[in-house]
Amino acid sequence: MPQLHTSGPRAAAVTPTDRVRLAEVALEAALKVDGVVAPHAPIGGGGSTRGSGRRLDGVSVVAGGHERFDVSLHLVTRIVPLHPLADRVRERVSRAARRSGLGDRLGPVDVRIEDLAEPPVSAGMLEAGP
Amino acid sequence: MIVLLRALAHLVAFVLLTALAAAGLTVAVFSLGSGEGGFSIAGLARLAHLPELERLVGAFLAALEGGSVRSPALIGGTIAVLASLLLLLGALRRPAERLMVLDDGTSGRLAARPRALGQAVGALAETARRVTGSKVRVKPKRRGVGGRIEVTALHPPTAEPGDVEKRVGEALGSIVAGIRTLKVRTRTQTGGRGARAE
Repeated sequence: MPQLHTSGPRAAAVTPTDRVRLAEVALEAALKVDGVVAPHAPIGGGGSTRGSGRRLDGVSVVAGGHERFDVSLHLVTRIVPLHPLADRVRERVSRAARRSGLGDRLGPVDVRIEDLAEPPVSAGMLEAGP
Repeated sequence: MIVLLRALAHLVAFVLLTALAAAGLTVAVFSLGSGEGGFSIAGLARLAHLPELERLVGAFLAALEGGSVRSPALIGGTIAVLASLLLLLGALRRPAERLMVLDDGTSGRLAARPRALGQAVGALAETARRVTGSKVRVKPKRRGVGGRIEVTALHPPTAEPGDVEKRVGEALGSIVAGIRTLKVRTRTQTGGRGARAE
């Protein structure tokens, strides 16, 4: 599950905006992809989404024009083929956004490999997952 | 900018530390002597013209204490403070790590931190048969997509370099498959155990 940080007494009462909902949906979908281990906790504040009294680490969502949002996922992954991993993440995020009624708000999905999960796996585990 | 400040801060730190070490050594050597003669602390002060220096700056420092500072001194002090702040910034602030952009299409961008990519490549290179260690350098392009990865695979003297290079290439192919913007250069070197990613 995404790491959700709530702050302030009104946090629970505030309805999340499409931007924050999209961030939640995208991160949750990305974390289900085989090869993705965790969201990357940002050090300087970049790579997180704030809004509705909440902070979501590992995903940043910004307005990209044409009423769509650009999604950037900051991930810790295992050693897997990177291109197929990014494709699987995008596909899963897109599917999850459509299911949540946010398909028409989703713009490009950037995938950033920020770190590797330890310990590194052997080459035998490099087969791309579903 | 930050890179330049860091280089300047390193240079200043090196020069100052060297000067401090040299001064400390000189004082220590002159401390061996005693009295007011040439080979003593008092003699060293005379050699360094400290009494003249005190006369030269004494009046200025007294004026500074009294609050009657002239504008050149004020400007000099301000510049010194600003220079110190910039050096501090250069010494303490780390430059942002450049990302290796592997793909940039309409569906989004795929990028990786060079350190993470280097670790992955190093770990994979070491799964190749007869490889005892690896050194990896990841060099993202300054602008745009792609970059270069240089892998040095270490192997025992008994291994065939061409064979090791081929196996490393096969091992790395799995992680960088489909990424045409990335140039991977593999070299082999006879060496023992140990891996390093830069």
